[in-house]
Amino acid sequence: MTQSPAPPRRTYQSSRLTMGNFFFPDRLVLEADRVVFRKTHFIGGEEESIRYEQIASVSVQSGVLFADLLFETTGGSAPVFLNGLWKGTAARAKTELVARIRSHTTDRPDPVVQALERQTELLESILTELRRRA
Amino acid sequence: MSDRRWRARARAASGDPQEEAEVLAMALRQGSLDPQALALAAYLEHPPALLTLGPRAPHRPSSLESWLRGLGPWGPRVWGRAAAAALGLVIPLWEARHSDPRPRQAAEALTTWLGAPTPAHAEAASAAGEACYLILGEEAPGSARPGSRSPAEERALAFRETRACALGAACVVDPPQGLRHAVLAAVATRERLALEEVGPGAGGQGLFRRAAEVDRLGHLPELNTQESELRLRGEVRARVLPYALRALQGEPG
Repeated sequence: MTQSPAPPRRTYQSSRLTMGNFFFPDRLVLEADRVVFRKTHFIGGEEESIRYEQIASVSVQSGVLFADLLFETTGGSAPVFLNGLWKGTAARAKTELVARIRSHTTDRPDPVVQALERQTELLESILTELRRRA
Repeated sequence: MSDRRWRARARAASGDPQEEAEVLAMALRQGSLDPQALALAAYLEHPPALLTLGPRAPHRPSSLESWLRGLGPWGPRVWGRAAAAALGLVIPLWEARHSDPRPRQAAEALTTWLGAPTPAHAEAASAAGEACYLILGEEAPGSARPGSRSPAEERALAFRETRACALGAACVVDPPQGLRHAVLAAVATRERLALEEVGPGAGGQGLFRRAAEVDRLGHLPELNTQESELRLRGEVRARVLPYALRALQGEPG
């Protein structure tokens, strides 16, 4: 059986014209199995690596020229922001990210995530019923 | 220094971190120390391990989720202990209001698996966890004791308690899912602990109302409080560190 080749590594970078990105623009690197955020400072930097399966949602908050990419993880940690992307770059990054997330999750459904979603729906239906009775 | 001698010296150490670090460093140089266990002890902020490793100590992320995910390389017996620590916080809260034994049974099944991680025990833990999902849908979960909570508030609490137990017991499966379940169990526990901090009054009622209206995976970012996070992190550390120290001295976990 032949396996489809891993998608290429791709990097998206904040515009240097935006705040905090002039010397060291933030970077978003799409690896084969994870996404990596790199924020560099004059001394040191931060790097966060998140597997595609752990990403719960991706959204773009657009301004006039620039946009911020925001995504949340299934672990419930603080959302990750990549600020100062050109709007077109942010849209392309989101499309590619969503496609990669889908390719990593649709083939392997996680029964626990499905159970969580069912339990959440159950809570919502119980609360609706409680409100109706009240 | 032989294995026996360094262990004797480690036991005789006065408790001074610097002195203990010197013993550990010597044992590490001689190869009579498990470097993985030493790194785990440092990750859990054990002062002698941190002094021994210095700048080579593993990075310890500030957010609870990242920190728990960072336990991944040490395997399911480590993140399983982290989940067990979370369940240890949640179960007394559940049992203060309910007599349903399923959350405790889930925690006990997890503890059994930690003691003997066999496929049969993993299956039993998964089944015990699965049973906890059902509690919320039942008309009268256990026999809820009378209290000052409204039905909606009670559901917001029970939702997180049962979820933590279901996920905690489900962390016995293979990586990466097992680790993810342990992290999610901790998140549910942290939110439940945060609800303990909510005071009476309109603000508290509003927060409880929002606590019941959760996202797809049941999270509410407002419940990520510093106190609940510190409490949970401390409990995880207290539960996992003895395991790391036993491994450090070559004793079975």
